[in-house]
Amino acid sequence: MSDKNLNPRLIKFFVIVAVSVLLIFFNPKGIFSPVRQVFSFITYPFQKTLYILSRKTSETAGFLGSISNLKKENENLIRENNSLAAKIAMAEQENRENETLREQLNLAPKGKFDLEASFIIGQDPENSGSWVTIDKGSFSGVQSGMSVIVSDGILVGRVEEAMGNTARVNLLTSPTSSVSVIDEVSGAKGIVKGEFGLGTVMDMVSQADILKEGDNIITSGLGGEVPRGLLVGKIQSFKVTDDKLFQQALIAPRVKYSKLDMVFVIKSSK
Amino acid sequence: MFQKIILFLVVIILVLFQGSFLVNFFPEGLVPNLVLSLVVFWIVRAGFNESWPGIVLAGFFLDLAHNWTIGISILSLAIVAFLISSLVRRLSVAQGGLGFVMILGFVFFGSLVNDLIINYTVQSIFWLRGFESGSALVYPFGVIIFWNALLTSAGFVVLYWPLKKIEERVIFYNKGQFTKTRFLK
Repeated sequence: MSDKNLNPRLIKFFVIVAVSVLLIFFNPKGIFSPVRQVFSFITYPFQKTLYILSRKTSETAGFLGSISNLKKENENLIRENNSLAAKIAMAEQENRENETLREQLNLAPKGKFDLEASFIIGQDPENSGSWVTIDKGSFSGVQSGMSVIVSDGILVGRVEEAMGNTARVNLLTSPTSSVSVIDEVSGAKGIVKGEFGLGTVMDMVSQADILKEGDNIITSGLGGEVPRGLLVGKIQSFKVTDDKLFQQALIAPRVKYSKLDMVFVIKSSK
Repeated sequence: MFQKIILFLVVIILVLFQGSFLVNFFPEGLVPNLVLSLVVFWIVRAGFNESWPGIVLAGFFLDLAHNWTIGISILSLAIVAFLISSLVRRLSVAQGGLGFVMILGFVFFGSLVNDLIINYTVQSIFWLRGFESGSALVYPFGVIIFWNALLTSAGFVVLYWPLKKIEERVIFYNKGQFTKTRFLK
């Protein structure tokens, strides 16, 4: 390795590293927004087609893979069917109870919001699902900060950046996500934060408040950015923070973010 | 020009394929990094001096497609490319040319380094922005990184021959103009 060959290589390398580091740490947010918009506009049809195609392929492959198990599954299903028939009466009763509970939970009904239905066309491949890309953007009235739910009024995240035809949705599991919530049963207030795609944690809960495993956590509406009453998840476990000032609860989400197909952006309340 | 158009198309196709197609076939956080495989291929075939514009372009498009801060992928791919080019320079002399298995080893190694750089860079960004929890939650050297490296290596196996074919075509069409160059000028 002669100096003649080494120097230009090293110089190029250090220039690339220096420029990258400058871009990463000193780049004001939004400076590349026009480039992102153009990139998103050009690649949107391809992204959407590829994503839908892969979804269909994945589903078909899953279906074909299950054919060999059909006979066994059929026998199991007959058995289950008998068992389920016996449970139907009980389920109907529970269903009625659920309806009542849902009303008590004050969950947001779909008719309450002006929703924009959109498909997921891309997702974070690296960090266990911190964001997804949806196929509706500013052309459809989607703006940054808007809440994103699934059909039952379950909050999954918020729009971080809206391009023309697409928007990036920061999921609740993203470390930059932060939503004011309350424990539906005890009324304990806190903030749900993402844990780098690994889950969500309800933080800043006062020591005086009571948390219980299994309690539903809903949005509090504080700050006005996220509507009140959207279901976030339920308490899986909780603990006192190391500084003994607050309590923290691990929140089990109600949906699997990697399997999201269609979501709704809340554009406004009706 | 022909080479540059082909290079641009290959990068774009792989970036979109990786971000919008493969994500539905693998568990969360585990997707073969085809762009990294492409970068290793370039480095082994053409060296760092010839490949760096393509690497910057690939990193830039990855950052755009992943909605990351611009520079993260450029940084990680550049470091991976430089490390591998240094290894290639030494090993190709010692081995008298590099075998496929050795290149596969570079891909595996490159994927590990790439994931580590990305994780620590993202961690630093969060730390600088005041998200303390990020530091404890980024997997520094977890099993997931090894799985990712294995998947990326598998992706490289699938990608290797098509890339070689494209390279041969590019050389063929450019005979007389770039007789000594390979895929990347």
